[in-house]
Amino acid sequence: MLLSRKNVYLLSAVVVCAATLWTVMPSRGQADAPQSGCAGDPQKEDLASGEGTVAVSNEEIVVIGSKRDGCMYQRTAARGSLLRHVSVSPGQGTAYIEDRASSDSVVAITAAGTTRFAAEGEATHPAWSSDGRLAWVEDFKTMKLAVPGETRVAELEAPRSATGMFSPVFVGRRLVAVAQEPVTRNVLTEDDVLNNLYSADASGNWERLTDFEVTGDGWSAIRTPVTTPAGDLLFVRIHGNYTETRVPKFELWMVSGGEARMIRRLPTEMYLAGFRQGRLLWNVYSRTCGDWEILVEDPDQGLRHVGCGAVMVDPVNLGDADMEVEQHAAPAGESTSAAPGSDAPLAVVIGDFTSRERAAVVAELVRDSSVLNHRAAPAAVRPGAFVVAVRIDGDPSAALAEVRRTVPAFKDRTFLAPVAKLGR
Amino acid sequence: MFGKRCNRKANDARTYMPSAWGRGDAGYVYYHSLLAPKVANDVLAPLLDDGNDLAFDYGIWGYACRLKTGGTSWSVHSWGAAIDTNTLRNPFGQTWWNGKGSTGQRFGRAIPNAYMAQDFYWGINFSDPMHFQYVSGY
Repeated sequence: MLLSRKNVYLLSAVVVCAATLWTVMPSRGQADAPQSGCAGDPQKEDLASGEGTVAVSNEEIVVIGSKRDGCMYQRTAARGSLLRHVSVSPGQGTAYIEDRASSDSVVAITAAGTTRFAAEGEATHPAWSSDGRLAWVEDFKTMKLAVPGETRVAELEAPRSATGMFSPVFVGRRLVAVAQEPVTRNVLTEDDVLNNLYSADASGNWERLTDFEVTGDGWSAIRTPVTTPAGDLLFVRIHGNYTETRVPKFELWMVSGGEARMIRRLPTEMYLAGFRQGRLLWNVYSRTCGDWEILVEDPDQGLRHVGCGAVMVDPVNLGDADMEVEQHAAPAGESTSAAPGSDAPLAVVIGDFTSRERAAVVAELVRDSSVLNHRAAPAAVRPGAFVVAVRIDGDPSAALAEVRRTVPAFKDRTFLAPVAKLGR
Repeated sequence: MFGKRCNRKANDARTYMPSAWGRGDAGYVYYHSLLAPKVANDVLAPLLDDGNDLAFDYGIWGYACRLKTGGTSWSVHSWGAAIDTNTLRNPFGQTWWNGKGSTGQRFGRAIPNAYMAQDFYWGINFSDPMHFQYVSGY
């Protein structure tokens, strides 16, 4: 895949003061007193140096892989808040998000102290530049740029053609971000359908770096972009078809020399987590950790365990701090019982068939079945089509499985559906 | 409760809905088999039965195996545990409910009330008025 323009990374000679080119906003950054817990101890020095691997584990910021392996720096700031999205930069410091029920905070720890930037909404993915600036995105729309310890916060809006943006990363002095692009009749949903990478020059002008497209029920997302020590850009691309019931494809991609290309397919759901001594780090969900696991890519030994914790990925065991939590149901629970519902008729339906006769042939194979059309079951079958309907006595999921065993050739066309005749 | 994301059970149930694919363009909406009695019989069928079929407007979506915007969390639609409805009039980011149906007639909160009466969590609480899910905190 070719970029829209060549040589977008030949930027090192361009030195521009961002504050003069991006809109400068009133200060919201505040230098905090050191937090309790590790204030003044060696772990804070680790964070301020930006050295090592830092992650969120069990709602704590942890430094992994040093002689103080896994030790805690700071507990979650307040009940109902979460820590997420850690970014380190050698010589600059460490930054992370405090995700709260209302407005989040971006926390930056440098040698000069701790600075807390109050976000106006959902803050995500802080990223360091080589000259000590920090970028993050608020509400997936507005990029914020600031220097920890200073008072000015600059803003940069998303590319005009985008419906949102996130995951900024500096490539030289250029700022790259993932943009969400509209594809479905301009309806914006909570989910990503199409992402592409965009790069902003110092004037805030965006240009597209990748040319991913989707058609039909396809979707294509970009996650966890990171800059390599050589100045190239790596990212994970995930794509699939949203109507399909299988895990989408995960791929490692690189943008280098003006060209984006796939490096390799990935064996499972995995996301980039930065570098460690020049080697690529990954975040993979692990039952061993009961959380995200950090793995280092070793040319001789493959993926090796480094520690447990989330770097740029979202916590898997915790809800969003912005969302009210009820306990009556959860996606990852163990119960297999159906949600409570009425006793109104529900059936296993096989179809659609284009004629009553074709449906009747299949109905002969299934006990206690009948052929229905839209007039008989308007919520179960479209006009002009026919289904074979099997009334359910007992567990709907078990009945569905039984019908699929009986007529396996139609298993992909067998569903649960309401067959109550509506009143009108 | 809903098992693995993006698996077959997540779209094992379906309902034929008005304005599913486009304004006045009906189609099948798919969702998790465990929700079949609740969605099909307790939410959607009574609405249709009460003559509220024109309250539905483009588009109505159920199962979708996708990531949430900008993150590594999977959409609740990946478990088939959420339904988006009247999406064109109630896009993500909007903080209020547009109760106009497919003909422009006003139906107020007939649709949200039907979902919430069955313990669905309304996405308007996180600026996603089209979205109704049978889990919360996600």
